Amino acid sequence: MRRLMLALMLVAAVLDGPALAQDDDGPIGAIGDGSLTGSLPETLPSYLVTGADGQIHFNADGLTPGEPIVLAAPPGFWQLDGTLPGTDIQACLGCLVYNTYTTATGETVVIPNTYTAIVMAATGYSPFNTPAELAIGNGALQLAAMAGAFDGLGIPPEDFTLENLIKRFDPTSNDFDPLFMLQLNIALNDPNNPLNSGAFFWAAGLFQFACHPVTGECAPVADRQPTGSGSGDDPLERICQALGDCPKPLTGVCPSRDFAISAPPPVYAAEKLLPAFPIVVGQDPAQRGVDVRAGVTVPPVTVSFNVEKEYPGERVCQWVGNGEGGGCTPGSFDSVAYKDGFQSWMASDPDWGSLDTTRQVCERVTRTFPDPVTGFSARLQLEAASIAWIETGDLQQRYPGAQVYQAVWPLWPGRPPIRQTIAADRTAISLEWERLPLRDPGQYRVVLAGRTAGTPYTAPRDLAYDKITFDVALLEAALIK
Amino acid sequence: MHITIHRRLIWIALIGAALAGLGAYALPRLALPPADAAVVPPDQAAITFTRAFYTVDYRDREGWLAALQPLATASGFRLIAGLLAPATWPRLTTAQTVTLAEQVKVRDEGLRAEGVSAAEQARGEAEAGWQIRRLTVTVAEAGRWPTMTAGTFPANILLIQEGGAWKFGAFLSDDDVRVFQQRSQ
Repeated sequence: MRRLMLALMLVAAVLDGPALAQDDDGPIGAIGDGSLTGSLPETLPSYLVTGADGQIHFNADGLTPGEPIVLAAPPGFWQLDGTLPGTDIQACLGCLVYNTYTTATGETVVIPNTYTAIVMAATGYSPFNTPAELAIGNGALQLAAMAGAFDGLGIPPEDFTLENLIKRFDPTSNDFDPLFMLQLNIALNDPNNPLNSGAFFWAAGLFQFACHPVTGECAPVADRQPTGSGSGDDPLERICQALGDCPKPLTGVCPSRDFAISAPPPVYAAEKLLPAFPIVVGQDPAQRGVDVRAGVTVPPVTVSFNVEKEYPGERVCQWVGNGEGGGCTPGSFDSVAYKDGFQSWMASDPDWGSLDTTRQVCERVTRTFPDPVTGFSARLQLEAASIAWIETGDLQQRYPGAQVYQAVWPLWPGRPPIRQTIAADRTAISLEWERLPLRDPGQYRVVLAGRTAGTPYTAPRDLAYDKITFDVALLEAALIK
Repeated sequence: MHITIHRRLIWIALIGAALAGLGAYALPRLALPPADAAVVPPDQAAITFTRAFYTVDYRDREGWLAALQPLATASGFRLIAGLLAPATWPRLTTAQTVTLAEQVKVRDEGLRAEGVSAAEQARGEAEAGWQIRRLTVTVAEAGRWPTMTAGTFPANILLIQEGGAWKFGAFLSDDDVRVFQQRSQ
């Protein structure tokens, strides 16, 4: 198995013209001009071939198409729901979509669609829980723009840089335009787009994993070469070996690895701090507002497994032969490998000598992996029942024209917290906001979302919290007879 | 000096003058319809599109797409043809669904958000406005799609001005609408 970890950036500056994806019959897609930085593997995977034009082409012949991987948008990114009204049909536009293939030797080849590739390139975000054996990125983003690939999106080609895209992707940026995001998503997810013709996507990228990067499953392959212990099909064993924790296959001292993975659920913090009984800011003479704290702590993932270790054993006086033993000098050994114990002649018999032995021990090892938060968002949301109460319910009847001023309060990103504590390894985030001027009465939900990076043994986890956390009261005056 | 004008020439001249006047009045109107007639108000555009969208015959996907194309922006039609149709049509075909236009009722419930797109302006659209309108859609039971969870349901439709006309851009969820609302404030 190739164990090359490559990052090949295809520099397209000297391309005469863009190499658009082609039909399945020919080379399916050129992914660069062969002007590479980094290092190439000694031999390319069979599905990557260098054409006569000097470019590297992807050819899916011999690969088995798998189910696409569809993942939620990275935290903080806008994701169009895409549910067709009245139906259960969904067409998620902001989701990250990866087409997958399985090689004859069981590796998983993952190809992001164009939008996904751009998001990954612009943000450095990767949802994969294991490092890729092979990663090829295409640096031809701007070239694609110059070639008109993104015409009609309202961005001059020369502005189509990663920096500009990041600003446009950020909902808190002044450059964020939901209409632009919508049209970008539609354009780049459209399977009929010339960018997406064939099986490979120009301006995209390609990754190869030993096992499926999300499920962790390895494709069953009939002709896989045995890997000594016969445990090569076990994804956990392969991960353990890749990390260097399982350098040798088991020999029987341990009956099995007996992997045990513990991934405690994230612990959320969502609370109203002050005041004890909030009222709408418009009725509060002090206009105090509400203090809120939100955060998450992701406990580390622990993985326990058995390894066989070798320790120095006794020094044994034993038969060596060929006059190479040198004799067993009393005091130079711990035990004697002879049924009657030490004999005086052994001290001078050159065929006997004192040798060091080792002992094999089965030990239980526990490794701890932080599962850092890669994205986190927090918002306050006025409960739907409270909105209905204001707009169409009792409150509306008593105060005709009552309206909701602001049902959604984006906090993170969107509003700088007064205090923020983010652990160095990003496994814990705590944020506090003071004096949020809530104008609408009712129940407020604290909605937290995000994602973790995952660990070598566990997939990235979604962070999700959504609970009614506090009330904001409306003072009403009533005449009492 | 006497000038003799034949009576027939007088008639010819009168008829010619009348035709010239009529032509001067009518020709511009034949070539370019009155501006007011060309602009369909957004509420009507939303209703027309949505009604056409839910009017399907499982045997005529191309006809359905052809009917929707002039009512949608280029991007909106891309959404329909590239993403929604592939997700929808197999199930309509399996259920042999036919929904007639008279089985679809659409009511406009009003404006939810509106704004102007900088991206559209950059593309050269003189009128780069957008609107999100709330609709109530009712599909009679006989024409209901197999994927429909109710006969009457709400819909948020994004309309975008393209070429001076209001056209379909996308259907949006309530969460998506909030993003637009926040951005348009």
